[in-house]
Amino acid sequence: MHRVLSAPVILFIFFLHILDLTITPLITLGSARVIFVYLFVVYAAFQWEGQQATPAALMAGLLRDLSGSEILGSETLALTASAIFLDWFSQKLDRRSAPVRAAAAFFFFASTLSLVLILSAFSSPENAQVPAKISILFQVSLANAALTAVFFPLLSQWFRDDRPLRQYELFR
Amino acid sequence: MNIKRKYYFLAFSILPLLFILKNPGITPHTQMMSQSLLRPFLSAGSSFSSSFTDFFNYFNLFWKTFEEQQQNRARISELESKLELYQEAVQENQRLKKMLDFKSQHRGKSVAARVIGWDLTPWRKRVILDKGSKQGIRKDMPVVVPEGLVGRILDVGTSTSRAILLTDPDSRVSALAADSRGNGLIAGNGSNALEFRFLDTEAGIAVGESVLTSGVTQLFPKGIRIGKIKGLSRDKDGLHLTGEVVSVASFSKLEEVLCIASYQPQ
Repeated sequence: MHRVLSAPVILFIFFLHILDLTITPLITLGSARVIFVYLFVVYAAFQWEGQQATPAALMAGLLRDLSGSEILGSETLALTASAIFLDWFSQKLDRRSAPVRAAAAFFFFASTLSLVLILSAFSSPENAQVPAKISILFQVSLANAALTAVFFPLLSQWFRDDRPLRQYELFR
Repeated sequence: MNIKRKYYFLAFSILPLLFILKNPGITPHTQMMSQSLLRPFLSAGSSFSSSFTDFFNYFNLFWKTFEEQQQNRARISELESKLELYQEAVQENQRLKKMLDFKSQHRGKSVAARVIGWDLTPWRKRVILDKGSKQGIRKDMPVVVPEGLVGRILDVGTSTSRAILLTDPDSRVSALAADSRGNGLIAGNGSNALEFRFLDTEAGIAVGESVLTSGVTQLFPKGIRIGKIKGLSRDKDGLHLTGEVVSVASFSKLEEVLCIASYQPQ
């Protein structure tokens, strides 16, 4: 089992954060782009025992707040709140099913970005442009949900995750 | 994870936001300070991303050389890597020469900067530049490329700065149509297209006209190119026209920019 608060995982989150700042904005499909750090939080919720998405989200949120341009603290709150819900929700789902993971990723992205959008409206309410932002939010959530099919197996290989099966999963 | 611990996490995540809501001015300073700390990583990532985009640009070229590689693999492989380096250097040389020509075209003071990072929020179109107050960058300086205007400086740190691009939903630039002299406002909407809003229906604005900064506000000097009008439609209220503008600058390929302190077109 991976502890999120271990040096390799913290370094990995930092590495993904640098990718999000420098490379992923250049690889876009329409307005959709990959957000590796968010994908990693979803991965931690589904792949690692012990509900580790929340500490991962807190760490990712703090990093994103410090190098983003949203109001400081908004990413941390949005990510942590969504991750608590995702941690709870992932325990109740078939965690090996790719469509379930994709759907959970979609809702995680949509809820986190919606919270960021709501909180960012405090900083510049006069220029909200909500419909355009919601359209981008939807595209980003959809694209990243589709990417879980590629990203999760890669991460699984990288971390050499042999996810412990639950007793009921042994009798499938 | 027990339920109490979850609440601790949530409470901890709310603290920064509550603090910032009480002291809103601290946000840009903190973010610029942390960006200055991240600068070496961003520069490294930017160099990597530059090579990455070059790889896609020359993918077709690589494919052709791959066929030749079958005949003389060792030799072609060596030449290929040399060619890649050479072409990258030539491309960079051309870009910098173009920038230098542009810089020498006006007598004002300007600072050249390299784009080292992009904003994290998907609908924000902002870039992180590798120059800050130490190199003479000031807030609200117009940011241009040889083709035309791309945005303005939003926040300045000691060794990095953040620029808001024209395509950002919060960006507004007063502009005019070059031929009809109709005034309006260029606004971004998060996508790559620009909107030319609040145009007078009687101004005689036509598709294909160039759009320039109008110089009405103090932020942007008059006469910097922005783009061309691609289409015109009536507002919902029917009182104004809105133009769709194609920018002269390519926002997705920004690598080097010029931040200008004073602009005097020839």
